[in-house]
Amino acid sequence: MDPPIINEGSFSAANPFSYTLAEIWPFAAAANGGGNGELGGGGLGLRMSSFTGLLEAAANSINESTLTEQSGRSGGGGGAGGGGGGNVGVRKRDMNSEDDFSKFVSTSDANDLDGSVAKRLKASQSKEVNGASKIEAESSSQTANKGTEQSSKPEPPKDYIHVRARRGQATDSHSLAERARREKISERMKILQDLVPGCNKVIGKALVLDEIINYIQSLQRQVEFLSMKLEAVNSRMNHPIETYPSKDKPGRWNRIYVDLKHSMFQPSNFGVVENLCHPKTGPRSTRSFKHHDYEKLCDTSEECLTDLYATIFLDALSGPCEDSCISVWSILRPIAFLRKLLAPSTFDTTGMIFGTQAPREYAQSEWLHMQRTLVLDPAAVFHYRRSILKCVIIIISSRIVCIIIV
Amino acid sequence: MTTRSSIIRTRFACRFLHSLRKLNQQEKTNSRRVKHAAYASMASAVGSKRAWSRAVLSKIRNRSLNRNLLKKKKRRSSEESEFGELRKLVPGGQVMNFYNLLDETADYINCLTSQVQVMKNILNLLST
Repeated sequence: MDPPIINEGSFSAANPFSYTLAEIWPFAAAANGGGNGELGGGGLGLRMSSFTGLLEAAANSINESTLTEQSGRSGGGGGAGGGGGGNVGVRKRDMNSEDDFSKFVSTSDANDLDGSVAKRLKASQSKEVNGASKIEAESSSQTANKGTEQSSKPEPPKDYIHVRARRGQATDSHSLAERARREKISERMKILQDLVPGCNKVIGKALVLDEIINYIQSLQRQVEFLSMKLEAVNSRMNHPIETYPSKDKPGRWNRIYVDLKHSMFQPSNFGVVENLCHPKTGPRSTRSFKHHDYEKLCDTSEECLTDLYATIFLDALSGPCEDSCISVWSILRPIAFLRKLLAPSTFDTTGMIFGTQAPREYAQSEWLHMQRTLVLDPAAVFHYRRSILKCVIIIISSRIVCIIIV
Repeated sequence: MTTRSSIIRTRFACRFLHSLRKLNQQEKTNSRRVKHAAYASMASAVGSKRAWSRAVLSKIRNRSLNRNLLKKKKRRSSEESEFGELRKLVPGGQVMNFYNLLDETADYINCLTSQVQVMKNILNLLST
């Protein structure tokens, strides 16, 4: 508990600036003493209220007593500052309840950098007198009339809130912290307003909150509705057409696969495949589909089929949002598809797959899109890596055998 | 932000389709189960970084255990009227302070929109 005495000779309150101690501290070590001469300078008070958040250390002394900060403010030079002196007694209580109070808030009014230098010096001095006892602090609080103010600084706090107090705004701790809190909240509210459609025009916090609540409710209701629909569709798929010999693919996926296979042999069944495309992106997907896949339908090789799979699924599932993607592998597991995916491709660390060569029929952007959206099951990646490991082991063992033979 | 949301979308789609397939193999299914699956897969897609996803996951994990606890909590929170609605809507919002609540709400809205989009896509694909 030490009184940093802060006065400034060349102070004119014409343009009130606000400095936080955050800006002041870093230079405190470099600054030497000698600011005392400015103590009585022009008799112009510099208002500075600083609070430290390290309440745990000073809790015993602060919680019981009142922390009196005396702000002598005399309207000097420009005369535009607050006239007359004001004593502000702030009782700090229950400060751990608020987050914002636990941070160091300090503002001061000054008009030029010289003022800040003076403060730096004072700050460094006050740092040195840190070990002062409580009695000293009390006695200094009695002598606080000269525009001194009192603060407890066991050590320089780490977090600061930069609060700029305009003229006419209160600068005691509660209002400062409250102002900082309000600013933070309003910032968040702006982000939320950007998220919620049609919320930008609404004015007023309560109405905005109402709008946000309505939006969340509608989204949740949509999820509920969609899950109801999905449940209905899913239960309908309980009796799949078991034509493809696999236990792993019940339901609809089988049928799609079968349809595809049939359509490959009969180009007249092309419509079946087309129906799979997403209705909203219909024109785009059908166009891209027709471009390169119509000839492929006549082709019967397995590779083309799997290729087809990828395009159709990605077209259908990516839907109106460009970057929604789907794990094709998790839905259907034809072996050829896996082979196709694994053979010419490499994985990066996240398990994303990168094709090495693009077929020429694809448009560039489309192929990129596919590459972005193809995501493999972690199990498949693991399988792939295990096979690589096996190869390496075989190679090494063969080398060892060679060495032994030689 | 876009990359993150796309990653979350992928993860959500993976998990949700897996759970749909599992639900398909079971005999008894209702829409509530699908909804729970959707929320659970969303929360697990987001991971434990966010408070709301943690709340959802813990709620699912010990759903039977703390039914009584939840009732008590609700009773307490209904007393404070300020932003009670928002607290009720965002999972885990009952124990947050207001600043965190707004933060979580923003993330929650993002995730919900992507969830709705992915679910719509899946439904469209299934119902054709």
